[in-house]
Amino acid sequence: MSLTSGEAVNASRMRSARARASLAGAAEAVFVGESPTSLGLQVDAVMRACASAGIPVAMIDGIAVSTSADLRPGHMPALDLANALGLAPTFIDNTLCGGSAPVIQVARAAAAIEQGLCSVAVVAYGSVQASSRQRNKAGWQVGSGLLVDEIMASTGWRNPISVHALIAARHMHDFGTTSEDLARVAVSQRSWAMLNPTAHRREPLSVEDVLSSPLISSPLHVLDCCLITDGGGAVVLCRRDLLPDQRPDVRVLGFDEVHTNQNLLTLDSLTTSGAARTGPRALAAAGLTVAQIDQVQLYDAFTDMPLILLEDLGFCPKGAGGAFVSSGRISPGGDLPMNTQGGGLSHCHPGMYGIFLVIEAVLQLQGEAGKRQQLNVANVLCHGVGGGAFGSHATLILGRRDA
Amino acid sequence: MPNNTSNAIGGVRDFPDDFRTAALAGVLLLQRCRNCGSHNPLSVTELCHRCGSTDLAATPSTGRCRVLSRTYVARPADSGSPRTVVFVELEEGVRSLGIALRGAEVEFDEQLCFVNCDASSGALYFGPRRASDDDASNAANGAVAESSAPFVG
Repeated sequence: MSLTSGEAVNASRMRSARARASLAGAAEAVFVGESPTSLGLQVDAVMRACASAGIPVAMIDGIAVSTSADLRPGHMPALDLANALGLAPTFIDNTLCGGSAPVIQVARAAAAIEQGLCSVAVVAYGSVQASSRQRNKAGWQVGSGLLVDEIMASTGWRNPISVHALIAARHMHDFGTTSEDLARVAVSQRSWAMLNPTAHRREPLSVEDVLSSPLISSPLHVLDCCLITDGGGAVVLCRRDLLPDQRPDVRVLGFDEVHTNQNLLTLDSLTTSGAARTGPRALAAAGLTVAQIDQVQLYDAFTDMPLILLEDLGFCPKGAGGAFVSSGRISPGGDLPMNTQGGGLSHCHPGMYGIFLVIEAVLQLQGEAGKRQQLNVANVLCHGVGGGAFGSHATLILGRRDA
Repeated sequence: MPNNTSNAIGGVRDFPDDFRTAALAGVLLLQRCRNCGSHNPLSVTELCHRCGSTDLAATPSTGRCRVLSRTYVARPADSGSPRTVVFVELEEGVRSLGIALRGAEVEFDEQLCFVNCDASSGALYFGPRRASDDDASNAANGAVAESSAPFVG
């Protein structure tokens, strides 16, 4: 008996239910024209990621898109992208939890493939927050009508800069971390960005430059804060049997997420983040220890973030993050390269940075990272951060496992 | 989870308005669970965050608090004068954000007290703890500070 079209699809899904997923390609959007749109950047990035993977766009049947400041009533990001690509996906995801969302969506997409819900999935992000002036360093001044938002916004603080200023200040008080330590994070990111031709900021940067830049919210200066840019990117995942010949086999080895708080007033600890939970669990899932991680891609909207994440993920003891980042170990030539594309501090930061963490990890694992390519990269740990106040965390461990 | 929706003081839906009114009178209002006794974070207004009870009562805080962290906002989002924003934990375990009064000690773990609320911006001001602040009833009775000028420098 011949199968109907629908039955054939279902049978295919059942057969693929035990299939594993691979990350086949990754790409950033390239700006075309003077007035890019968020959707246009997503489309461009998906086309480029598919081209790099050697997978036709028409094969995409899973779409995951996140967004932030350009969310509007009736906005359905994944459906918008599906429509733009002329596709009718069988799996979509519109997870909204800030900058951690793209990292989470990679795990969601891999799980969907492994469950047979789709065969080829893209995770995409694009934003024109800078050119559309949706965002500036004044930050979010929420008009939600919620009491908690009133209490916080009425202080005149800079949200989210002041959230991380409060976090950094307490870390400095408790552990002796210095402004110079924070500045060295920015300097390290810049040294990587100088090797990345797509990075927005590539001129040399010193600790003195960071410390002499205008103070925004103590102890954070302008150069302790991420860029505000447009940008977009995408990664393509596929069923492993669909991975084109000769493509490196990059896999999700481990993942974990936790969402601890949406605002500062429910943040449990100023100096220990949700990464202390997700890091060990993701490493355990991957069967790895921190000593087996070759490089890290850590969310760096502000200089305190990666310093605290390095502690919470287990790369150094609590309180030793300042000394760790100042040791040079995360910089070019160091033994734990961090944010090798320049990070949100020097590469780009279009509202949410999570997709760029994963793109860089895939490029490094595939050996396609140009001048900044590191040798013998087998395992990369990405950590995405989102939420309103350091409250959404996702650790994703990717590895190259060629047959 | 308890299924008691009664609320003798204003009701859950009225809490934000009650909070604003009380703050202008120099009293910080909190939501306390009649079932388990815990106080809700200021961002949680629907249910008790500990036990899920809807039997919540608005109760005055002592206003006494400890500085968890502080930041000098050199360029406030409202384009006003620079100020020190304090993240505090009230004696009841509830956390708040506010502005330090001029001259207030804003060292870490410093003991402060809620003073008053700016009528135009709604900002909560915290200042040095005075001897009279050790009497919890003062805050509850609506003691209002003389100065609400923000701490600068």
